[in-house]
Amino acid sequence: MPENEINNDDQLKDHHFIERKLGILEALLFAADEPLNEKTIAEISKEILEAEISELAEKLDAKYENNGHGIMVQYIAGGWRLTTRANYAEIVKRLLRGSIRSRLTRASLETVSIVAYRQPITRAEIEAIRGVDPSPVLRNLLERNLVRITGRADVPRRPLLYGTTDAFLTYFGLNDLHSLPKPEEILGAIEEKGKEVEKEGPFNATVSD
Amino acid sequence: MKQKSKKNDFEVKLSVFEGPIDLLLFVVRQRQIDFSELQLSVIAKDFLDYARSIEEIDLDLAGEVIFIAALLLRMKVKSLLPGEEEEEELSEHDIAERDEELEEIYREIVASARKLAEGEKTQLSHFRRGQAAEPGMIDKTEEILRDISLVHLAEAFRDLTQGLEKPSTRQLTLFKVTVEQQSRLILRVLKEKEKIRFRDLIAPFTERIEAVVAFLAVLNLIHRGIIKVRQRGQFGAIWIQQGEKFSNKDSTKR
Repeated sequence: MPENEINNDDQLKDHHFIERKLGILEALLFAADEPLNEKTIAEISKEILEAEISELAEKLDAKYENNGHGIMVQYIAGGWRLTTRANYAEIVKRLLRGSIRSRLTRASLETVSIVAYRQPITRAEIEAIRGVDPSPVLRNLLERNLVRITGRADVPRRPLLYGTTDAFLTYFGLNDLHSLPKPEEILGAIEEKGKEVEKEGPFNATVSD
Repeated sequence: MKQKSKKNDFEVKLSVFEGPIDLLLFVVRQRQIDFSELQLSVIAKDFLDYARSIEEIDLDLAGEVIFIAALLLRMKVKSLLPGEEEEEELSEHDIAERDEELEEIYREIVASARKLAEGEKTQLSHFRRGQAAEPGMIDKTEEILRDISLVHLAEAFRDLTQGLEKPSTRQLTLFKVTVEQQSRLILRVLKEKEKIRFRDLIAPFTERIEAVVAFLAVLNLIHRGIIKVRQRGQFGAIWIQQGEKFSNKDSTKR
Protein backbone atom coordinates (compact mmCIF):
# COMPACT_ATOMS: atom_id res chain seq x y z
CA MET A 1 0.00 0.00 0.00
CA PRO A 2 2.65 2.55 0.93
CA GLU A 3 4.46 1.74 -2.30
CA ASN A 4 1.41 2.45 -4.34
CA GLU A 5 0.88 5.69 -2.53
CA ILE A 6 4.42 6.75 -3.24
CA ASN A 7 3.98 5.84 -6.87
CA ASN A 8 0.79 7.82 -7.03
CA ASP A 9 2.46 10.80 -5.43
CA ASP A 10 5.31 10.60 -7.92
CA GLN A 11 2.88 10.28 -10.73
CA LEU A 12 0.97 13.23 -9.44
CA LYS A 13 4.16 15.25 -9.19
CA ASP A 14 5.20 14.25 -12.68
CA HIS A 15 1.78 15.09 -13.90
CA HIS A 16 1.99 18.51 -12.35
CA PHE A 17 5.42 19.10 -13.78
CA ILE A 18 4.26 18.15 -17.20
CA GLU A 19 1.11 20.19 -16.95
CA ARG A 20 3.16 23.16 -15.92
CA LYS A 21 5.65 22.67 -18.72
CA LEU A 22 2.88 22.34 -21.22
CA GLY A 23 1.41 25.52 -19.86
CA ILE A 24 4.71 27.32 -20.22
CA LEU A 25 5.16 26.10 -23.75
CA GLU A 26 1.63 27.04 -24.64
CA ALA A 27 2.00 30.52 -23.18
CA LEU A 28 5.25 31.12 -25.02
CA LEU A 29 3.92 29.90 -28.33
CA PHE A 30 0.79 31.98 -27.95
CA ALA A 31 2.67 35.17 -27.23
CA ALA A 32 5.36 34.72 -29.88
CA ASP A 33 4.92 36.23 -33.31
CA GLU A 34 7.20 33.82 -35.09
CA PRO A 35 8.11 30.14 -34.71
CA LEU A 36 10.22 29.45 -31.63
CA ASN A 37 13.02 26.93 -31.77
CA GLU A 38 14.27 24.69 -28.94
CA LYS A 39 17.14 26.94 -28.11
CA THR A 40 14.94 29.97 -27.59
CA ILE A 41 12.36 28.13 -25.52
CA ALA A 42 14.96 26.50 -23.29
CA GLU A 43 16.74 29.81 -22.80
CA ILE A 44 13.61 31.58 -21.68
CA SER A 45 12.20 28.83 -19.52
CA LYS A 46 14.70 27.36 -17.12
CA GLU A 47 12.36 24.53 -16.27
CA ILE A 48 12.26 23.06 -19.74
CA LEU A 49 15.21 21.26 -21.28
CA GLU A 50 16.00 21.54 -24.93
CA ALA A 51 15.77 17.82 -25.34
CA GLU A 52 12.23 17.48 -24.11
CA ILE A 53 10.69 20.29 -26.10
CA SER A 54 9.92 18.22 -29.13
CA GLU A 55 8.00 15.73 -27.06
CA LEU A 56 6.22 18.46 -25.14
CA ALA A 57 5.13 20.07 -28.34
CA GLU A 58 3.72 16.81 -29.54
CA LYS A 59 1.89 16.32 -26.25
CA LEU A 60 0.45 19.78 -26.49
CA ASP A 61 -0.71 19.17 -30.02
CA ALA A 62 -2.22 15.86 -29.02
CA LYS A 63 -4.02 17.58 -26.18
CA TYR A 64 -5.51 20.06 -28.61
CA GLU A 65 -6.54 17.39 -31.03
CA ASN A 66 -8.07 15.11 -28.44
CA ASN A 67 -10.12 17.89 -26.99
CA GLY A 68 -11.40 19.17 -30.27
CA HIS A 69 -9.51 22.45 -30.19
CA GLY A 70 -9.47 24.73 -33.20
CA ILE A 71 -5.74 25.32 -32.91
CA MET A 72 -2.72 23.11 -33.27
CA VAL A 73 1.04 23.12 -32.77
CA GLN A 74 2.93 23.30 -36.04
CA TYR A 75 6.60 22.70 -36.65
CA ILE A 76 7.77 25.07 -39.31
CA ALA A 77 10.88 27.05 -40.25
CA GLY A 78 12.85 25.25 -37.62
CA GLY A 79 10.55 26.04 -34.72
CA TRP A 80 7.06 25.67 -33.30
CA ARG A 81 4.11 27.92 -33.50
CA LEU A 82 0.36 27.85 -32.89
CA THR A 83 -1.90 27.97 -35.87
CA THR A 84 -5.52 27.23 -36.63
CA ARG A 85 -6.50 23.78 -37.74
CA ALA A 86 -6.94 23.26 -41.45
CA ASN A 87 -10.53 22.15 -41.13
CA TYR A 88 -11.50 25.57 -39.83
CA ALA A 89 -9.72 27.38 -42.64
CA GLU A 90 -12.83 28.37 -44.56
CA ILE A 91 -14.41 30.03 -41.57
CA VAL A 92 -11.28 31.82 -40.45
CA LYS A 93 -10.86 33.08 -43.98
CA ARG A 94 -14.05 35.03 -43.60
CA LEU A 95 -12.57 36.83 -40.65
CA LEU A 96 -9.60 37.80 -42.72
CA ARG A 97 -11.65 38.64 -45.78
CA GLY A 98 -9.94 41.43 -47.64
CA SER A 99 -6.56 40.99 -46.07
CA ILE A 100 -5.47 37.74 -47.63
CA ARG A 101 -3.11 37.95 -50.52
CA SER A 102 -3.75 36.18 -53.74
CA ARG A 103 -1.54 33.21 -54.45
CA LEU A 104 1.69 33.56 -56.33
CA THR A 105 1.67 33.45 -60.09
CA ARG A 106 3.65 30.82 -61.89
CA ALA A 107 6.23 33.43 -62.84
CA SER A 108 6.63 34.36 -59.19
CA LEU A 109 6.85 30.74 -58.10
CA GLU A 110 9.55 29.97 -60.62
CA THR A 111 11.51 33.10 -59.79
CA VAL A 112 11.38 32.49 -56.08
CA SER A 113 12.42 28.90 -56.70
CA ILE A 114 15.49 30.03 -58.55
CA VAL A 115 16.38 32.43 -55.79
CA ALA A 116 15.82 29.77 -53.17
CA TYR A 117 18.11 27.26 -54.78
CA ARG A 118 20.80 29.52 -56.01
CA GLN A 119 21.01 32.25 -53.40
CA PRO A 120 22.62 34.62 -53.32
CA ILE A 121 21.88 35.32 -56.96
CA THR A 122 21.78 38.37 -59.19
CA ARG A 123 18.96 39.58 -61.36
CA ALA A 124 20.94 38.79 -64.49
CA GLU A 125 21.53 35.20 -63.44
CA ILE A 126 17.83 34.75 -62.76
CA GLU A 127 17.10 36.14 -66.19
CA ALA A 128 19.54 33.71 -67.77
CA ILE A 129 17.60 30.79 -66.37
CA ARG A 130 14.06 31.99 -66.91
CA GLY A 131 14.70 33.87 -70.10
CA VAL A 132 12.68 36.88 -68.94
CA ASP A 133 13.57 39.98 -67.00
CA PRO A 134 12.65 39.14 -63.39
CA SER A 135 12.54 42.75 -62.18
CA PRO A 136 8.78 43.17 -61.78
CA VAL A 137 8.48 39.77 -60.13
CA LEU A 138 11.38 40.52 -57.82
CA ARG A 139 9.70 43.72 -56.79
CA ASN A 140 6.55 41.84 -55.82
CA LEU A 141 8.52 39.17 -53.98
CA LEU A 142 10.40 41.86 -52.09
CA GLU A 143 7.12 43.47 -51.14
CA ARG A 144 5.75 40.19 -49.86
CA ASN A 145 8.91 39.69 -47.88
CA LEU A 146 9.68 36.37 -49.52
CA VAL A 147 12.91 37.62 -51.00
CA ARG A 148 15.46 40.08 -49.71
CA ILE A 149 18.57 41.86 -50.88
CA THR A 150 21.56 40.23 -49.29
CA GLY A 151 24.35 42.35 -50.69
CA ARG A 152 26.21 43.12 -53.88
CA ALA A 153 28.08 40.78 -56.19
CA ASP A 154 31.84 41.18 -56.38
CA VAL A 155 31.89 41.69 -60.12
CA PRO A 156 31.96 44.79 -62.31
CA ARG A 157 28.90 47.05 -61.89
CA ARG A 158 28.31 45.35 -58.53
CA PRO A 159 24.76 44.14 -59.11
CA LEU A 160 22.42 43.35 -56.23
CA LEU A 161 22.23 39.87 -54.76
CA TYR A 162 18.94 38.27 -53.75
CA GLY A 163 18.14 35.59 -51.23
CA THR A 164 15.09 34.19 -49.47
CA THR A 165 13.75 35.33 -46.11
CA ASP A 166 12.56 33.47 -43.03
CA ALA A 167 9.05 34.36 -44.02
CA PHE A 168 9.71 32.43 -47.23
CA LEU A 169 10.01 29.26 -45.18
CA THR A 170 6.78 29.75 -43.29
CA TYR A 171 4.97 30.81 -46.41
CA PHE A 172 5.73 27.53 -48.13
CA GLY A 173 5.62 25.38 -45.03
CA LEU A 174 9.32 24.55 -45.10
CA ASN A 175 11.58 23.86 -42.18
CA ASP A 176 14.74 25.08 -43.79
CA LEU A 177 16.32 25.54 -47.18
CA HIS A 178 17.33 21.91 -47.27
CA SER A 179 13.69 20.92 -47.25
CA LEU A 180 13.24 22.41 -50.69
CA PRO A 181 11.94 19.84 -53.13
CA LYS A 182 14.58 17.86 -55.04
CA PRO A 183 17.52 19.82 -53.70
CA GLU A 184 20.53 17.77 -54.78
CA GLU A 185 20.05 17.43 -58.50
CA ILE A 186 18.86 20.96 -58.96
CA LEU A 187 21.51 22.45 -56.75
CA GLY A 188 24.26 20.56 -58.50
CA ALA A 189 23.14 21.44 -62.01
CA ILE A 190 22.63 25.08 -61.16
CA GLU A 191 25.94 25.39 -59.36
CA GLU A 192 27.76 24.21 -62.42
CA LYS A 193 25.85 26.49 -64.71
CA GLY A 194 26.05 29.32 -62.24
CA LYS A 195 29.84 29.22 -62.16
CA GLU A 196 29.88 29.51 -65.93
CA VAL A 197 27.46 32.41 -65.78
CA GLU A 198 29.66 34.32 -63.37
CA LYS A 199 32.74 33.78 -65.46
CA GLU A 200 31.13 34.94 -68.64
CA GLY A 201 30.18 38.23 -67.07
CA PRO A 202 27.02 40.35 -67.23
CA PHE A 203 24.34 39.27 -69.62
CA ASN A 204 22.83 42.56 -70.46
CA ALA A 205 24.46 45.64 -71.81
CA THR A 206 21.59 47.65 -70.43
CA VAL A 207 21.72 47.50 -66.68
CA SER A 208 19.08 50.05 -65.99
CA ASP A 209 17.58 48.58 -62.86
CA MET B 1 31.97 85.09 -37.53
CA LYS B 2 28.27 84.68 -37.93
CA GLN B 3 26.79 86.19 -41.01
CA LYS B 4 23.55 86.24 -42.86
CA SER B 5 23.61 83.79 -45.69
CA LYS B 6 22.85 84.80 -49.20
CA LYS B 7 21.63 82.59 -51.92
CA ASN B 8 24.19 80.11 -53.28
CA ASP B 9 26.29 80.53 -50.21
CA PHE B 10 26.11 76.82 -49.43
CA GLU B 11 28.26 74.61 -51.62
CA VAL B 12 28.33 70.87 -51.96
CA LYS B 13 31.77 69.39 -51.45
CA LEU B 14 32.21 65.80 -52.54
CA SER B 15 35.09 63.99 -54.09
CA VAL B 16 33.28 63.88 -57.40
CA PHE B 17 31.68 67.29 -57.34
CA GLU B 18 32.03 70.75 -55.87
CA GLY B 19 29.53 73.48 -56.37
CA PRO B 20 25.99 74.63 -55.67
CA ILE B 21 23.41 71.97 -55.14
CA ASP B 22 21.21 72.83 -58.07
CA LEU B 23 24.17 72.35 -60.35
CA LEU B 24 24.70 68.96 -58.73
CA LEU B 25 21.15 68.00 -59.60
CA PHE B 26 21.72 69.04 -63.17
CA VAL B 27 24.89 67.03 -63.43
CA VAL B 28 23.25 63.98 -61.89
CA ARG B 29 20.37 64.21 -64.32
CA GLN B 30 22.86 64.30 -67.16
CA ARG B 31 24.14 60.99 -65.79
CA GLN B 32 27.59 62.39 -65.35
CA ILE B 33 27.74 61.11 -61.80
CA ASP B 34 27.17 57.56 -60.68
CA PHE B 35 24.75 57.19 -57.80
CA SER B 36 27.12 55.07 -55.83
CA GLU B 37 29.47 58.05 -55.68
CA LEU B 38 26.77 60.40 -54.52
CA GLN B 39 27.15 60.62 -50.78
CA LEU B 40 23.96 62.23 -49.61
CA SER B 41 24.92 61.75 -45.99
CA VAL B 42 27.93 64.00 -46.49
CA ILE B 43 25.81 66.67 -48.13
CA ALA B 44 23.30 66.48 -45.30
CA LYS B 45 25.92 66.77 -42.63
CA ASP B 46 27.65 69.66 -44.34
CA PHE B 47 24.42 71.53 -44.68
CA LEU B 48 23.52 71.03 -41.05
CA ASP B 49 26.94 72.28 -40.00
CA TYR B 50 26.52 75.25 -42.26
CA ALA B 51 23.08 76.04 -40.90
CA ARG B 52 24.36 76.00 -37.35
CA SER B 53 27.25 78.29 -38.11
CA ILE B 54 25.28 81.21 -39.45
CA GLU B 55 23.00 83.58 -37.61
CA GLU B 56 20.18 83.94 -40.07
CA ILE B 57 19.51 81.41 -42.73
CA ASP B 58 17.95 82.25 -46.01
CA LEU B 59 14.77 80.24 -46.10
CA ASP B 60 14.80 80.08 -49.86
CA LEU B 61 18.21 78.53 -49.78
CA ALA B 62 17.28 76.09 -47.06
CA GLY B 63 14.14 75.07 -48.87
CA GLU B 64 16.01 74.58 -52.11
CA VAL B 65 18.71 72.49 -50.51
CA ILE B 66 16.23 70.25 -48.75
CA PHE B 67 14.11 69.89 -51.84
CA ILE B 68 16.99 68.98 -54.11
CA ALA B 69 18.49 66.65 -51.54
CA ALA B 70 15.15 64.87 -51.35
CA LEU B 71 15.03 64.59 -55.13
CA LEU B 72 18.51 63.15 -55.22
CA LEU B 73 17.63 60.72 -52.48
CA ARG B 74 14.62 59.49 -54.34
CA MET B 75 16.58 59.10 -57.54
CA LYS B 76 19.26 57.18 -55.76
CA VAL B 77 16.77 54.90 -54.05
CA LYS B 78 14.98 54.25 -57.32
CA SER B 79 18.25 53.26 -58.91
CA LEU B 80 18.74 50.63 -56.24
CA LEU B 81 15.41 48.94 -56.56
CA PRO B 82 14.30 46.57 -59.32
CA GLY B 83 12.26 48.07 -62.11
CA GLU B 84 8.55 48.85 -62.01
CA GLU B 85 6.49 47.27 -64.77
CA GLU B 86 3.44 45.11 -65.31
CA GLU B 87 4.02 41.58 -64.17
CA GLU B 88 4.19 39.22 -67.10
CA GLU B 89 2.09 36.11 -66.91
CA LEU B 90 3.42 33.61 -69.43
CA SER B 91 6.77 32.05 -68.85
CA GLU B 92 7.03 29.24 -71.35
CA HIS B 93 7.05 31.32 -74.51
CA ASP B 94 10.56 32.45 -74.01
CA ILE B 95 12.21 29.10 -73.69
CA ALA B 96 12.92 28.76 -77.42
CA GLU B 97 16.36 30.21 -78.03
CA ARG B 98 18.17 29.25 -74.89
CA ASP B 99 20.97 27.00 -73.89
CA GLU B 100 19.93 23.38 -73.53
CA GLU B 101 21.46 23.05 -70.13
CA LEU B 102 19.71 26.10 -68.91
CA GLU B 103 16.55 24.67 -70.34
CA GLU B 104 16.94 21.56 -68.32
CA ILE B 105 17.55 23.58 -65.21
CA TYR B 106 14.52 25.60 -66.07
CA ARG B 107 12.36 22.52 -66.34
CA GLU B 108 13.46 21.39 -62.94
CA ILE B 109 12.71 24.81 -61.60
CA VAL B 110 9.22 24.54 -63.02
CA ALA B 111 8.78 21.20 -61.27
CA SER B 112 9.97 22.55 -57.97
CA ALA B 113 7.81 25.59 -58.40
CA ARG B 114 4.80 23.31 -58.63
CA LYS B 115 5.84 21.56 -55.45
CA LEU B 116 6.27 24.88 -53.73
CA ALA B 117 2.80 25.85 -54.86
CA GLU B 118 1.45 22.82 -53.04
CA GLY B 119 3.22 23.88 -49.90
CA GLU B 120 1.81 27.35 -50.33
CA LYS B 121 -1.69 25.98 -50.63
CA THR B 122 -1.38 23.89 -47.47
CA GLN B 123 -0.05 26.83 -45.54
CA LEU B 124 -2.94 28.98 -46.63
CA SER B 125 -5.26 26.90 -44.47
CA HIS B 126 -3.33 27.80 -41.33
CA PHE B 127 -3.64 31.15 -39.65
CA ARG B 128 -1.55 32.74 -36.95
CA ARG B 129 -2.82 34.62 -33.97
CA GLY B 130 -3.49 38.21 -34.89
CA GLN B 131 -3.23 37.61 -38.60
CA ALA B 132 -6.47 39.49 -39.18
CA ALA B 133 -4.90 42.66 -37.85
CA GLU B 134 -1.89 42.55 -40.12
CA PRO B 135 -1.57 45.46 -42.52
CA GLY B 136 0.41 45.15 -45.68
CA MET B 137 -1.13 41.80 -46.45
CA ILE B 138 -3.32 43.45 -48.98
CA ASP B 139 -2.47 43.11 -52.61
CA LYS B 140 -2.45 46.06 -54.93
CA THR B 141 -5.67 45.08 -56.59
CA GLU B 142 -7.44 44.74 -53.29
CA GLU B 143 -5.94 47.95 -52.06
CA ILE B 144 -8.05 49.78 -54.57
CA LEU B 145 -11.15 48.71 -52.70
CA ARG B 146 -9.82 49.64 -49.32
CA ASP B 147 -10.54 53.24 -48.49
CA ILE B 148 -14.03 53.43 -49.81
CA SER B 149 -16.37 55.66 -47.93
CA LEU B 150 -19.97 56.51 -48.47
CA VAL B 151 -18.89 59.62 -50.35
CA HIS B 152 -16.93 57.58 -52.86
CA LEU B 153 -19.83 55.26 -53.41
CA ALA B 154 -22.18 58.15 -53.90
CA GLU B 155 -19.84 59.72 -56.39
CA ALA B 156 -19.44 56.49 -58.24
CA PHE B 157 -23.19 56.08 -58.42
CA ARG B 158 -23.60 59.61 -59.66
CA ASP B 159 -20.98 59.10 -62.34
CA LEU B 160 -22.69 55.94 -63.43
CA THR B 161 -26.12 57.41 -63.69
CA GLN B 162 -24.98 60.64 -65.24
CA GLY B 163 -24.43 59.01 -68.55
CA LEU B 164 -27.77 57.28 -68.54
CA GLU B 165 -30.52 58.47 -70.83
CA LYS B 166 -33.46 59.91 -69.00
CA PRO B 167 -36.45 57.76 -69.83
CA SER B 168 -38.76 60.65 -70.69
CA THR B 169 -38.48 64.34 -71.20
CA ARG B 170 -40.54 66.85 -69.33
CA GLN B 171 -42.20 69.76 -70.92
CA LEU B 172 -40.96 72.97 -69.47
CA THR B 173 -42.89 76.12 -70.19
CA LEU B 174 -41.21 79.39 -69.71
CA PHE B 175 -43.48 81.40 -67.54
CA LYS B 176 -42.79 85.03 -67.81
CA VAL B 177 -44.22 87.40 -65.29
CA THR B 178 -42.98 90.85 -64.44
CA VAL B 179 -43.35 93.15 -61.50
CA GLU B 180 -45.05 95.61 -63.81
CA GLN B 181 -47.65 93.09 -64.83
CA GLN B 182 -48.42 92.17 -61.26
CA SER B 183 -48.49 95.82 -60.24
CA ARG B 184 -51.08 96.58 -62.87
CA LEU B 185 -53.10 93.61 -61.78
CA ILE B 186 -53.01 94.70 -58.14
CA LEU B 187 -54.05 98.20 -59.00
CA ARG B 188 -56.88 96.96 -61.20
CA VAL B 189 -58.12 94.83 -58.38
CA LEU B 190 -57.84 97.62 -55.88
CA LYS B 191 -59.75 99.91 -58.16
CA GLU B 192 -62.67 97.59 -57.94
CA LYS B 193 -62.39 96.33 -54.45
CA GLU B 194 -60.69 99.05 -52.42
CA LYS B 195 -59.00 96.45 -50.30
CA ILE B 196 -58.15 92.82 -50.64
CA ARG B 197 -56.36 90.19 -48.66
CA PHE B 198 -53.02 89.17 -50.11
CA ARG B 199 -54.11 85.61 -49.84
CA ASP B 200 -57.11 86.26 -51.99
CA LEU B 201 -55.03 88.22 -54.43
CA ILE B 202 -52.77 85.32 -55.19
CA ALA B 203 -55.46 82.63 -54.99
CA PRO B 204 -56.17 82.45 -58.71
CA PHE B 205 -52.48 82.05 -59.58
CA THR B 206 -51.39 78.66 -60.87
CA GLU B 207 -47.65 79.12 -60.72
CA ARG B 208 -45.73 79.99 -57.61
CA ILE B 209 -43.67 82.51 -59.51
CA GLU B 210 -46.77 84.60 -60.03
CA ALA B 211 -47.32 84.89 -56.31
CA VAL B 212 -43.69 85.69 -55.69
CA VAL B 213 -43.61 88.45 -58.21
CA ALA B 214 -46.95 89.72 -56.94
CA PHE B 215 -45.39 90.03 -53.51
CA LEU B 216 -42.53 91.98 -54.99
CA ALA B 217 -45.00 94.22 -56.74
CA VAL B 218 -46.77 94.83 -53.45
CA LEU B 219 -43.51 95.90 -51.85
CA ASN B 220 -42.75 98.14 -54.72
CA LEU B 221 -46.16 99.76 -54.60
CA ILE B 222 -45.90 100.27 -50.87
CA HIS B 223 -42.57 101.91 -51.38
CA ARG B 224 -44.05 104.29 -53.86
CA GLY B 225 -46.94 105.07 -51.56
CA ILE B 226 -49.51 103.87 -54.06
CA ILE B 227 -50.88 101.21 -51.80
CA LYS B 228 -51.08 100.60 -48.10
CA VAL B 229 -50.75 97.36 -46.26
CA ARG B 230 -52.29 96.43 -42.95
CA GLN B 231 -51.84 93.32 -40.91
CA ARG B 232 -54.05 92.24 -38.07
CA GLY B 233 -51.81 91.04 -35.33
CA GLN B 234 -48.57 89.19 -35.85
CA PHE B 235 -49.82 86.44 -38.08
CA GLY B 236 -53.05 87.91 -39.22
CA ALA B 237 -54.17 88.36 -42.77
CA ILE B 238 -52.41 90.96 -44.84
CA TRP B 239 -54.79 93.52 -46.26
CA ILE B 240 -53.80 95.58 -49.23
CA GLN B 241 -55.63 98.81 -49.85
CA GLN B 242 -55.31 101.95 -51.78
CA GLY B 243 -52.59 104.24 -50.59
CA GLU B 244 -52.31 107.97 -50.54
CA LYS B 245 -50.91 108.25 -53.96
CA PHE B 246 -53.41 105.87 -55.40
CA SER B 247 -55.23 107.27 -58.32
CA ASN B 248 -57.30 105.70 -60.99
CA LYS B 249 -54.79 106.76 -63.53
CA ASP B 250 -52.10 104.48 -62.13
CA SER B 251 -53.86 101.29 -62.89
CA THR B 252 -53.43 101.82 -66.55
CA LYS B 253 -50.07 103.51 -66.60
CA ARG B 254 -47.57 101.15 -65.01
